[in-house]
Amino acid sequence: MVEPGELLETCRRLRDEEGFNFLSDITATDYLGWQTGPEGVAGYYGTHTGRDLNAPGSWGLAALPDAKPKRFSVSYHLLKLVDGAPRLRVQVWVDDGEAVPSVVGIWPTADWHEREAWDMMGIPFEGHPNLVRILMDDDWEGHPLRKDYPLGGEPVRFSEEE
Amino acid sequence: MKERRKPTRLRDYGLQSERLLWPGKGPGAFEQEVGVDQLEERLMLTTVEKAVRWSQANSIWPDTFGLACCAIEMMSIVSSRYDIARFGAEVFRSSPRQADLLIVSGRVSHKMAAPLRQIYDQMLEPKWVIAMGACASSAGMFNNYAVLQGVDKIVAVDIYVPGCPPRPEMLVEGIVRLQERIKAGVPPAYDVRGVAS
Amino acid sequence: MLRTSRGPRIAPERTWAVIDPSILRGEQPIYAGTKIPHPIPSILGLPDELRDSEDVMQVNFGPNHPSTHGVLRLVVDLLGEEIVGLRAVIGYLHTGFEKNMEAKTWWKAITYPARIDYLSFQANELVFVLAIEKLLGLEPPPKATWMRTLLCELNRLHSHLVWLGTSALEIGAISMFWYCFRERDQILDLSELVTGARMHTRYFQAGGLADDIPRGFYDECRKFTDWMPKAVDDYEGLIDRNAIWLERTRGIGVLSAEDAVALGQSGPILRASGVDWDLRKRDPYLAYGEVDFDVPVYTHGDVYDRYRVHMEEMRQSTRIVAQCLDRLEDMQGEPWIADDRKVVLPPREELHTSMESLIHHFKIVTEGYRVPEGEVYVVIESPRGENGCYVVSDGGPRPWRVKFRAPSFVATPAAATLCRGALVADLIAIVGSLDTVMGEVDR
Repeated sequence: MVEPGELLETCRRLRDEEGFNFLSDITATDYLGWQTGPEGVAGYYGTHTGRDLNAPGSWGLAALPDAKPKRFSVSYHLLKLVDGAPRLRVQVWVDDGEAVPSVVGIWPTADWHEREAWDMMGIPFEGHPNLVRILMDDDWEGHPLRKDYPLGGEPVRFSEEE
Repeated sequence: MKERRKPTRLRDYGLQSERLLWPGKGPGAFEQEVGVDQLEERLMLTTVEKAVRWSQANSIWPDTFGLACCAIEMMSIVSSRYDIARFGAEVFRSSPRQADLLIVSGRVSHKMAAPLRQIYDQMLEPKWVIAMGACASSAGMFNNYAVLQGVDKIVAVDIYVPGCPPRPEMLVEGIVRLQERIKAGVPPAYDVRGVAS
Repeated sequence: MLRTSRGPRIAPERTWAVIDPSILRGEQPIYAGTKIPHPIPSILGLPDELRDSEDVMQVNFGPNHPSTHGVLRLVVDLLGEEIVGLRAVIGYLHTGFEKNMEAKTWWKAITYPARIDYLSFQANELVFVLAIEKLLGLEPPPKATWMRTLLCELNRLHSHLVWLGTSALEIGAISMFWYCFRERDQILDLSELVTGARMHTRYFQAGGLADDIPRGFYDECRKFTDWMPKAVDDYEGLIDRNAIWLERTRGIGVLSAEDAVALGQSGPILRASGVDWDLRKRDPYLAYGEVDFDVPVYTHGDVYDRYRVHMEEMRQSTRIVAQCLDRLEDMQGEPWIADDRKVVLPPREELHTSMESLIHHFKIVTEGYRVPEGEVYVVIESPRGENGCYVVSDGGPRPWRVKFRAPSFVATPAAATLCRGALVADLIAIVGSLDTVMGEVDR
């Protein structure tokens, strides 16, 4: 786990000194609703009317999962190209709107990964040369993979949603 | 008074034959072969509409609109095992101006809906649409924000082929049923539904 | 030049300059001599002298185009026939897989990954199922492992065949399409024999396979592995020494090894650039550690080398399939799925007699099995390269977050690096050789 301020320095050190010269993936995860109970452990609701079709009948867990430090986590999966393929995950925790420095200068492949994280989760990357929407329409509003964004779609006929 | 003969000659039907134009000419080679009085029985007479429909049905040229997994199965009907060239779909034209049939194969996202409608508008009438696969018919398993819930929301669909992905034989059956529909005289879907084409 | 996996070079020597802040700010390229465009690595921008020129024409290779990749849109600036600017626009097939999977139970969510990379559907299912098993700590029985290996290699063959057929079609070798699809139909017949569906089988389950392997499979597969090398010989005989093919693919779209690693490439693209990296050898998963095969590595990094890598991989995959068949024939009658009733459905005969099985069955089907809390990143070598799945579980019956690292997603922006100075006809060859599947790119 790394603070956003130290991210660039850490990544540079990992790449040059430790030899992790391959960035495999950048993933952003939204932990809104991580510890809520039986309403829907995944935090948000499955259909456009708000009803969750797969709501578990009973919770029954002995312990709720541990709380997370902030709402969003950005995970960098790094790989060293040697025998045995050692991998490393660097995680940065941010709140809504907090910016993360961009690692495009270190691993150019991060370009599109960061654009996707911005598009889907709304995490701004500081220093990214071209932070525009990539998967959704250019004028789309909202960040679809957030937990408070509805799944969308249509109500299924003859189900209880109508 | 000569009795009125049964109409057997072309001129009895009001049509001119070359005998009128060349009074001294005898029967032509074709007539001699077929039989001088049997010409009208042996020839196939049909209406222009039926002939046109028959030719339209048997020479449908699809447009390459493969989007996702169904596109791979669509490519396999072009291949030699499930050959659709034998049904008349000789080539897949990539230009919509030269295609009759739009096989929407794959999930249509909202971003792609606009280009899809553009391609459909560029096609010349008469044109038919097959919604191939569950995703094109009704968004399949993707009941969410990103996928257009059924391509019939933006174009008029003639045939829906279900499956995920449908077997190539199912798509061929869909095309054959479309051919039967056309030969039977059913107008294309935009006429049936009264929507703009 | 073919090198096997015992070749000398694994990772390229670092030639990158020591990072100074101007590189981090994007004011300088990442290292001297790189072909990666900067400041934006994924957009080939117009050089300054051409910016106001009237000779530059911007052409849109729109989402619907005659080549068979799928819905990729390339906005290309052309100076005559030469490409001076390139930008890829994606998102036309975005399906919201990850959000949809968060709304389904773990068992139902297995149907989704297959549709992401629809050419190598088993590979995607495999990576998701491996991630679930890792979180659960569940170990599938050996028969399931070997069968998974076999089906993954058949899938690799399927993917390479479709790639070869369609890429050759675009470059102009139209008859390859028909030859390749003939074999592809044979592979799909095998798949249908085992799983019941040609594509998008839901055959891999958490714990093993969904059902036993039918008896006729071994003979059919054996016939296929005997026939396949001759088929690959056919393909090579058609185009390998063809002067037109060589002209159109040699020296086109060259990618150096350092650029390839910096751009995050993996799979055939990386191996064609000289980096000997294959996860099946370096970090073996499934049964790859016990199977004998070679990994082709070529050095030039052009389109022709990528094509050679694909052809060699087809031969090696056939070898692997034959070896898996041998092992599987000895394992007939063994269990194909793990025994853990909390996760795996009990066999139907037991439901009539055992109350506990009935309860397990009910809970698994309605509520879904629970996967312990944790996060895991599992990577396999799919036909396109490094396919990874990052799964976060909160201990409940549904995934909290699923992210698929798709190799085509990182290969598509590499087109900007590769197409520098290329002609329009080369653009088609290059984008074809990158083997992108738009379902993966857009997810």
